[in-house]
Amino acid sequence: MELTRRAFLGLTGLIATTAGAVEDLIKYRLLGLPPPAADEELLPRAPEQWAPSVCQLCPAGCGVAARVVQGRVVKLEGLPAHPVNQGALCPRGAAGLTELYHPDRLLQPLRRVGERGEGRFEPVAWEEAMPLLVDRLRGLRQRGEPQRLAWLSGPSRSLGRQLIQRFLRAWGSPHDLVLSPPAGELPAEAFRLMVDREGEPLYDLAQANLLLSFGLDWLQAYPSPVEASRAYGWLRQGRSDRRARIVQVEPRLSMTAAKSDEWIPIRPGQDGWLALGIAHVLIRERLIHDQLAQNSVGLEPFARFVASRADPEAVAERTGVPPETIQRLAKEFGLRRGLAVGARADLMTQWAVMSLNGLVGNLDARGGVLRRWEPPGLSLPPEPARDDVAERGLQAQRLAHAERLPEHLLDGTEAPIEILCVHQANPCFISPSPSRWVEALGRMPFIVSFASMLDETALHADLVLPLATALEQWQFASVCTSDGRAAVNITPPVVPPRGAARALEEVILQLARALGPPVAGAFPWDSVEPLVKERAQALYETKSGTPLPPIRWSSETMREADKPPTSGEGLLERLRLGGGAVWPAEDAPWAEFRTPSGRLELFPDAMTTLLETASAEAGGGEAQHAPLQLYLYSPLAFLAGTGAHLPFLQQIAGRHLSEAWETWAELHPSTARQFGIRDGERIWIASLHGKVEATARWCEGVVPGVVAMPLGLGHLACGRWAKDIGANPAHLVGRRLDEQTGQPFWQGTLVKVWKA
Amino acid sequence: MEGLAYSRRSFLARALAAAASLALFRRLSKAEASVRQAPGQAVAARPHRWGMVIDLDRCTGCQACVVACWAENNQPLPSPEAHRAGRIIEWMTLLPSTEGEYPAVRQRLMPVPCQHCDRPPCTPVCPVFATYKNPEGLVAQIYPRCIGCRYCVNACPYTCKFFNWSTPTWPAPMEAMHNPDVSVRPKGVTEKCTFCHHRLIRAKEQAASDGRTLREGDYVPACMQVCPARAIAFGDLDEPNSAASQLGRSPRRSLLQEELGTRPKVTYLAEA
Repeated sequence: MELTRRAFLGLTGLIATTAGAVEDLIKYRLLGLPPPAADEELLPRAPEQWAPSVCQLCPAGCGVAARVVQGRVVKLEGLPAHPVNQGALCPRGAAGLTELYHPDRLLQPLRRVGERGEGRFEPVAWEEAMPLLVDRLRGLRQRGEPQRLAWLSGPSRSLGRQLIQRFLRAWGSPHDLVLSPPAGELPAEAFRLMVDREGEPLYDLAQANLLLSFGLDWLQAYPSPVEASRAYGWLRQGRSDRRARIVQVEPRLSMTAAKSDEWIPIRPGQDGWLALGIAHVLIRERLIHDQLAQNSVGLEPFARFVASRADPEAVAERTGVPPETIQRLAKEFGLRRGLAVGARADLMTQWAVMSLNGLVGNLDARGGVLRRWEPPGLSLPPEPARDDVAERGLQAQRLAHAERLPEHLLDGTEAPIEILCVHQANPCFISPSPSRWVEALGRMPFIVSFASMLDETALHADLVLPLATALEQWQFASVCTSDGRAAVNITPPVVPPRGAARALEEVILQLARALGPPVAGAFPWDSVEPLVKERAQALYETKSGTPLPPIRWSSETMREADKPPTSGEGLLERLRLGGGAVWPAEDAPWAEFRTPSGRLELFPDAMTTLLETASAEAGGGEAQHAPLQLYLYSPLAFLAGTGAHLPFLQQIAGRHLSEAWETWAELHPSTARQFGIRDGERIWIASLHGKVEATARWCEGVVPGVVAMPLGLGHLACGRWAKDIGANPAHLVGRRLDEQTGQPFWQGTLVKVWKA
Repeated sequence: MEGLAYSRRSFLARALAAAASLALFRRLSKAEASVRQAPGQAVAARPHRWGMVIDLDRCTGCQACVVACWAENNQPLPSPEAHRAGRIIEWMTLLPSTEGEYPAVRQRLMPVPCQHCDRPPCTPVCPVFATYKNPEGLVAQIYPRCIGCRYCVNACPYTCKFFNWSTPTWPAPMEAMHNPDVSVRPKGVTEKCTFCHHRLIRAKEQAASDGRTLREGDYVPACMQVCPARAIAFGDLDEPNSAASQLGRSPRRSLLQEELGTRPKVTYLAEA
């Protein structure tokens, strides 16, 4: 038979059209398969568990619920009953699993084989790695110089921090150094001078009537991002009383400024003077609290100081904020008893902002400044007596500020450090002029990095020990909410650590055991679990706190939860089901001012000397060559300079400009035109200290004459998603530190720009 | 040609017969499918109409919703290359806009998921019926049926449909974090926000096993669940007492590009 083109087409058409029908016929009629119903598709399902844990991507301590299927964690959600995050998460927390399953995580201890900083390592087993450190430490002790060990940490409230401090005390070194991030902390130093010598402030954001922020981008860089966002939602649409007013003072239209009722642009680094200008008007217009004279000391000299130095005209000159605005702000602030919030900047700024809360009586008050507190029974038991070596070591002069370490090492004036342990701090990336740290670490005889990623500082280490991440370890730490409640997070590991990674806490316990007495005496626990059990017993004996409800309700857990625990172990079981326990704000031991006078110190002695030397700012010849001021900010994605190693966070960091995976520099169009720079062009930004390349972006939301740049990009290490992406503007900042707080002056560096 | 017993007429007749038989078989199997499905369904309930309300007065632009959506729905990892090519897949995105001049500048970031239009412009253009509006109002995308023509991507005025230009890859061991309830889409397929439809299936199953109808809060998409500012409400728009219905009647309400007549089921509440 002859097959023509037409017949062929006809036949194939027929076959094609009937094939589908025949297939359906066979599948559904003959074989009885279930028909496809696209929107009701049932998926084969493996059994799943939900386990509580704690997010460790910032120190806030949000409770998370991990969904575990076949040994894999497939989702992190907020723990609904947790007092800090109440079921929500911030974008960092939501990206938590990419941290756990990061392909470039450290899974093996590494020993340096190349030159320092070259980045050549060989993997070693823990059994080989630990003796490297232990032998070094023994050597120090035999020479009777335990003070030559320093431990550098980042801000953290984990059990690990407590164990580090305990280790150093038992060992005999005073050098427990904590490196502050450039943004996202509250003004602890001013609070300690003025209110409570051991305290830390909390801002009761959600109850504020007028929230006046001095450069604290609290919707992005805040110690507890979820709480800040929740407070904002509540201030806007949750409260039934009068709508709160939100005012943001900042050189840049930050996310907070954009969401505020009013944005007050200001020159970088002048926040403190604006606060003093407001204080001037508050006192002049008698808008201060009635009882202030009785409750405080230093009102007289404070009033004299602001009267002479901070009248609105003079402040306007300095800050660029018109005097009428200062007057209006002050009146609003006094009449509505505002809450002034600021960052952990230099002491003068901290003090000026905190004093506003003192003036209107908003310290230890709802909608004002509260204090962090710890519930009873949680702190570790007292250590046994130290030996003479440790006692002598602890007498050594303590390094005042972590950020001073490079200068100490390079000058060689002070007793040098021989062994430096680094944990959750990355000064070779996020500190002013990080190359100074690199230089200084080059002279350090032995550096141990405890890290989950090979970061810039770990690159310079002699020994890198791989750490477990949040879900792979026991969590035990107390936290405090913005509204003054306290809680404790107690959760077991959700999954075992990847590779050979170990929890920092376990490593410290092993280290102490390997060193033997007397250090081992302070650590009577084999591992973290017995330690937590012991604390649970102590907690049970205090008979305080309410356990959080079990993470997933079932009739079984509900029955269990109804019965009060009858032992420490029973309590621990309960805490493990829910993730911890919570204490109401009423239990907080507030009220007393813990200052030398027992009252609010409005004008602490430290300020008297500081202000005499203050206001000597760089200028003159330098200003001509570098006519612009640099303003650095931390997007929430890169809070504390960390987060660029996670692809989700890279993608969201520059959303307001649709920028991602690149460092950009925001310039006001008038400033940009002045230098012939078009939107989107590559430019150089240079200061006396260094230069970086970035993409120029025209931005109406920047004070003219200011270059605003995000911190957090420009890694040389930290895995595939961070390495060689963007530039690090920390290189532009000089190493001038505030004497009192040790905080670098991050803002206001003079820079110039030109087309690349 | 004359010798061949295959005329235009017979060809047409055969084609018609084939088409008719196809239609008949399809109908039969469908009828049976619906019969088969009936007992499997939970306690019979009236159909829902799912919708979302996003309160821009509460939203802080933190983008937790964006990240939670990525994590929940196994979306491809963002990368510098994809970003530069404009090929980032994000079912929930934040739309930035700036207006005004210094110092009176307004900057907004508006979360935009699929609007799940009641009259979706994307479904009629699909040549293979891969995207359609389901009985509960969700605009669905059947991935195995999608041929990657991207008509719907172009038709969506909200740019909420995303095409997989390349095979998504996850470096080991990142596949471990995949949500087992959500399939991974291959190259050449368009994908979109489903209002976390897999969560609806689970919620229905749970309700059925408890012998009750769905309650408010049983079914919550990942973006709403994660939102720290509580800016997102979600629920049945046909249920007058649901939070979504109530908020959706607010005087601050508006719809995205309402003039297009797409009737979105995502309502925005303006900043007060």
